[in-house]
Amino acid sequence: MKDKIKLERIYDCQIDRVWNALTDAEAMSQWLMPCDIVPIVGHKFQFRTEPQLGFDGIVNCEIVEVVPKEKLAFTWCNGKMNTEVSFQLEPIGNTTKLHLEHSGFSGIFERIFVRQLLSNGWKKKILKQLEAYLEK
Amino acid sequence: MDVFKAISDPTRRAIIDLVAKEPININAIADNFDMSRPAVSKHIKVLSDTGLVGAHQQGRDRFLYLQLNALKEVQLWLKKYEYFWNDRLDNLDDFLKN
Repeated sequence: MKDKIKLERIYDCQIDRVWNALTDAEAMSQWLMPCDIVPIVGHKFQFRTEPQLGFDGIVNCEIVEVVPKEKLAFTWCNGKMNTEVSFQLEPIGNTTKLHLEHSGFSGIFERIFVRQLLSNGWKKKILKQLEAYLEK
Repeated sequence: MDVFKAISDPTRRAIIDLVAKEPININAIADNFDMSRPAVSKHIKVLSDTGLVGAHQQGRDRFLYLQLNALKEVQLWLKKYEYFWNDRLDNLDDFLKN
């Protein structure tokens, strides 16, 4: 099973324009979602959109990698999600190839699953202690 | 049944606990529970339908193993986001043309 999304697109313009669209808050807000991105490693920002069922509309992000005109990566966290998004650019003549990768999906379930198992274990433990106490 | 419902049942969680340690002979699973074999089989079927556990044949025996990876919930998230990103990357194309 895959745990990441990989997409590619070729845009009919030079790399500078695409890089600007990925790193300028106003541009990013137009084509992706309203946000306050600043392309500096460690910068924390949010995407904010309309809340939907099961989604409060806020994605918390932190920039993890910036290589000007080559690569931008940031975390993408919301509720149970703790994933990472990266954009990589590659010039092809006068066009620009964009590689998108959104990874870390397997972690979502493992976290929920482990929590369930743990809470089950805890309940058992507490019940046993209670029983032991009552028997005294 | 979805994954979350599947693991909300204590018997099924106990089965998961068993197979989480090591693959276990399906016939031996019922010995750990105070219920009929068909009842245990039903729980195993629910777990394997969700993809939480898988079975493999070894000689005459079938072994059940934990399969954390083949998870439908995660697949759903992936699908949702794949749709989302395709849509937004198209937006980016429109944005760059203007």
